[in-house]
Amino acid sequence: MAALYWKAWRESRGRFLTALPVMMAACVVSARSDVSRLMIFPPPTLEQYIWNSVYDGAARLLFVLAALTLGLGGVRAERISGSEAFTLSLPVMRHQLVLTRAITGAAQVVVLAMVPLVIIPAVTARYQDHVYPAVQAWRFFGLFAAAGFAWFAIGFFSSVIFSGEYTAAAVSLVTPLAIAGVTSAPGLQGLRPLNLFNIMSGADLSYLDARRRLLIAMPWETVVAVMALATVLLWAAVRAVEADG
Amino acid sequence: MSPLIRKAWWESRIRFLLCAAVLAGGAAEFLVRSRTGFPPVEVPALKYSAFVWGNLIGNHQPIVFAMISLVLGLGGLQRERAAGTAAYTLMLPVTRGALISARALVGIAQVVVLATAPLVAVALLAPVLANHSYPIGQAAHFALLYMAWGVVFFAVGLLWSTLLSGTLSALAACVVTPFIYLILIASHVDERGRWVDANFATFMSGMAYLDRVHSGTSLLGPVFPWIPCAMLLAVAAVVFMLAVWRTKRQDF
Repeated sequence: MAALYWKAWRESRGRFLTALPVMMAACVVSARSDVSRLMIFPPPTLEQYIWNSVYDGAARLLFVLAALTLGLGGVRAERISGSEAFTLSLPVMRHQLVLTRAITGAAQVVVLAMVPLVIIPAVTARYQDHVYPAVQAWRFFGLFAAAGFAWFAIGFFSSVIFSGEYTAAAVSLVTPLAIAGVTSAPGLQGLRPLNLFNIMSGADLSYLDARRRLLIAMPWETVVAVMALATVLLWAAVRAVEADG
Repeated sequence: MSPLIRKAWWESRIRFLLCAAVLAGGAAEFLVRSRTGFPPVEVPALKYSAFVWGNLIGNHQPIVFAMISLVLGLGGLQRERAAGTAAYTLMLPVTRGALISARALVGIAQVVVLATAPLVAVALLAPVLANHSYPIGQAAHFALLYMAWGVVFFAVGLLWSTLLSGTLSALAACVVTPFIYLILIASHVDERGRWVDANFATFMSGMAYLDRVHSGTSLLGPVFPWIPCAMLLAVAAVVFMLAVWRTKRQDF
């Protein structure tokens, strides 16, 4: 099994190691910004600014795209490069191939979700007049990890269903737009709690203090539901690979 | 040239049509929301033009469009090398420059369509479907701002596709490119607004060119940034030349 994890890591490390420093840089830039000099009136508090720029801002979009991209690849992609037969001739079951890829990717997503958790309190302690609350960073880490797992599962499922490498990528990249569009459509506002973007930041949801931009409590039910949904999607992907001729 | 254009279209059409479908869906959803949910309860005095700007032009839209343009630039001979068809393409009685030029022509046309269609459609259909009006001239001008940076990002995607052989490596590069660029440029845009056009998000959303006299409309003022647009096209041309130069020297 260790060899399969090594294979999965080698295949995805380029994407992971590309996304990791950019995510780190995005968090560092936000955490060391001089909030008092921003041309926003009234000036935001540190917590409001971090929420706007990281947990509800560009860093979140980067995280989502990285998680989706980490889900791509696998046996279908290998069919195009001609190495599929070699992989399938390995003395392992197909579901082992898929599962090791899924576990490796999920671990990478968790590491990416940890970037704000580690960087924001550490950098704000150095550059701001007070430290960003660690408990908030931990709560957002939980939401990012759970939702990131779901985004990863969407990319993973696309890579199993669509044979064209760019088709799977394009489907993965437009999925967030489609989800955001559907959940904000007229008459469908009831689906807003299903918008993974909102789940990550708490925007428009009851567990965020909208004025202070702080999480009131950890929404464990939501976290469990999102992870269950992602697990179902991964299970469907495993079954699809097993059934694939 | 026509068969090459056709080839480039066939290779990129699924990506293009998917992106077009999502943008069209977004525009349609916006029109329905304009009819049923405008003005929003929380901002009853909001102008319709500001509503259009907030939903279709500003906020996260520039970064999404940058990503779309970058992904449209992917493909080409490096991808074909991975698929094993590069030799067949290189046997065609055309130069490598012609191959990549055909891809560029198709891609630029796709960027133009994706930049223009949603805004123009909203400007044309909003009076009929939502009983609100949005000036078509404004839609065209904002589309030009999107096109200018869209073509640059398309050229960068094209360059990535020639530099990186792995399909997913090129894709990952495209995903992080706008973010790296924003992080780098954020430290160069100063309070006096120098380099403001170099920030694609600010430029595409027209932030620096909005009408200050009629604030609250989020419409472009009388000064349109033609020179920055021309400079961006020149940048795209340079990046494209780099991609051609690189392709001509590659072994497949």
